[in-house]
Amino acid sequence: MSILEGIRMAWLSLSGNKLRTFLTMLGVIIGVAAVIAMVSIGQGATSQVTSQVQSLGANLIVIAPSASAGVRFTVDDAATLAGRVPELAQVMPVITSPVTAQYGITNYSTTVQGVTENFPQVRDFPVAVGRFFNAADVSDAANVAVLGQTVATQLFKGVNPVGRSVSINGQPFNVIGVLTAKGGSLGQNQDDVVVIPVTTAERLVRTRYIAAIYAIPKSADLSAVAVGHLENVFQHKYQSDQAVTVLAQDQLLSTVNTVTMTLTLMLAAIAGISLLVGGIGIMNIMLVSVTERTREIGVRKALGARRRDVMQQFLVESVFLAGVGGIIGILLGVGGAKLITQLAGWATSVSVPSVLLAFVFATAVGVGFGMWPAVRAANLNPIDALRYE
Amino acid sequence: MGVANVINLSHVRKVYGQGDVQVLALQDVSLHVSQGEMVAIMGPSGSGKSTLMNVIGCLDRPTAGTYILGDRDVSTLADNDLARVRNREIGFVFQTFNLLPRLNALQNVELPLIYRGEPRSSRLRKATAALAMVGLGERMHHYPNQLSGGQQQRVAIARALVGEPSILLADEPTGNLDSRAGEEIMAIFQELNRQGITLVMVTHDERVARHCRRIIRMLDGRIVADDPVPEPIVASRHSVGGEVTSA
Repeated sequence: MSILEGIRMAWLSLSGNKLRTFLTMLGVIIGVAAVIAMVSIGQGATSQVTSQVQSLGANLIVIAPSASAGVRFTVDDAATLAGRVPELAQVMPVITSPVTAQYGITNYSTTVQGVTENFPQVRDFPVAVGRFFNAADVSDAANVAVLGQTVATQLFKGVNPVGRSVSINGQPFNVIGVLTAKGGSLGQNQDDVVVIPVTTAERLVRTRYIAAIYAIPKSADLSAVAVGHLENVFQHKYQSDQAVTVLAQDQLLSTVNTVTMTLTLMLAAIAGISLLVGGIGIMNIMLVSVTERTREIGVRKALGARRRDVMQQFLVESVFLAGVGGIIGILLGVGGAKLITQLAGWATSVSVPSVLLAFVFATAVGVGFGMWPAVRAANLNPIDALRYE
Repeated sequence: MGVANVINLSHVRKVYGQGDVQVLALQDVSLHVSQGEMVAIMGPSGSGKSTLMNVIGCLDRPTAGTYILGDRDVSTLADNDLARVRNREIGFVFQTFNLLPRLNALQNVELPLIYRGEPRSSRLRKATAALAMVGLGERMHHYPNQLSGGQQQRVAIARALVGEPSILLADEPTGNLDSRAGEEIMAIFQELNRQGITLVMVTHDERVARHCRRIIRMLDGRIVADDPVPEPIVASRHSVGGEVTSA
């Protein structure tokens, strides 16, 4: 008997009991749809987090003192560091503080970042309108500010802020530029910021200490070397490897990727269990079907069906159930992922390998769980099968 | 005689079960049926006539003895070879028709040819011809539940014939039919036999058996009588190949 005949026979038998066929498929449909939707959520989260980490700035190295270890940095420390670690191309001190910005009668709470003139290169964060402040502005501690997109929108509501004056914590600042929109990163809106010279920030928030030092290596290859060198410097200086945290962006990326990969695998495993349950559903129905059709099997054997003809018939049915269920599940899963993006606003990413994997897995479930019923059918003794009531 | 034996059973025994619960279904049965015969096997329940039919139909292997079908010893064949023999050499007609309910008449008749791997076009041609032969050319696309008992049995006969087997085996073929439909079936069998088909049937009904030319009687797993029928009843052929009685 040819495969084509087998498929024709399977179709006749499955279409003869449409409700049961549909309910049996439902297990696989839900399983496959769940696998695809879950993996797409996981992968969507991964790619979102990855791009957010990358948006911090290419090859960024963050050097943060540990306050609990009593270590604090000043602007001068940042300058010294640039001399001691030759692998670094740029070093930038950062002072961060919450502030209130005011324009006209509008007040807006935001964060000020005091940095040096190399901020656009270090953070890979250029201005969209106007200009960034220069070295003279930094050494003069000039009252100039560059606004993030969110702050610009909130305060100026469509008016071009460049050339206008905002008050930050009561001090007047001349707006000289607006940054490009960067979006959120790791739960923070990077556009909700006012950037001013670090020297001005020292005065504004009345501090000598900076929150962190940002640096970038001369090339991406030097990142690991630079990190090692930095760690040596601080180890030597403070006699402790807990005093300063040195974190390169690629390390952060790999940590984040490990976490999200685990998340994706866990979601896929949970969804995979439902696919397994769907497979057991197929096996259950096929076993019932074999029992119900014992007489039919006897007739077919009397008419000359060989063992493998009978086996093929039942196997084709279960693979058909799983395969068609798999295809419907893929469509539902892809649609579900889109719906999740629309309704919940989560990033989802349906990848071709996950779709293929889900389909292959579903078909394998059909073969795996259809095998036992099929073997049982094939091994029936024709005389007993014909006599079966 | 010049006519070859189709069925040659020599000293066939069949034992079911093992150990203490052995049932001796056939003991030392020898039977020879030649080409073109029409034989009825009779006997009470448990006499072994169904077992004998199963052995002749290659659904079962004898425990001892030999069975030569045509010129081939089939008593020791493996399952798949037996399936092949059933497919090519034997046509079955059952008491309960045993048509597959989800297939229409034509698809039911096609089945043996499907298992033979015959291409679709020649399958359709042969199945159509077989259905026409039993007078159901008009009802090829009816499903079993749309056919009367007699018509279903005729579909089953067409299915048994479509593969041009060397013997036709019928197990109580009229057992589930009223006497009129039973008569039609016997008329078809007699017509087929006239055309040269070898036919062996099991029946309880003495009158049905007397349509055959030879009656074998069994008791307790043995053949106790094997007699020719001097004047077989000729079934009336009022509805065969022509009008159909009821739908």
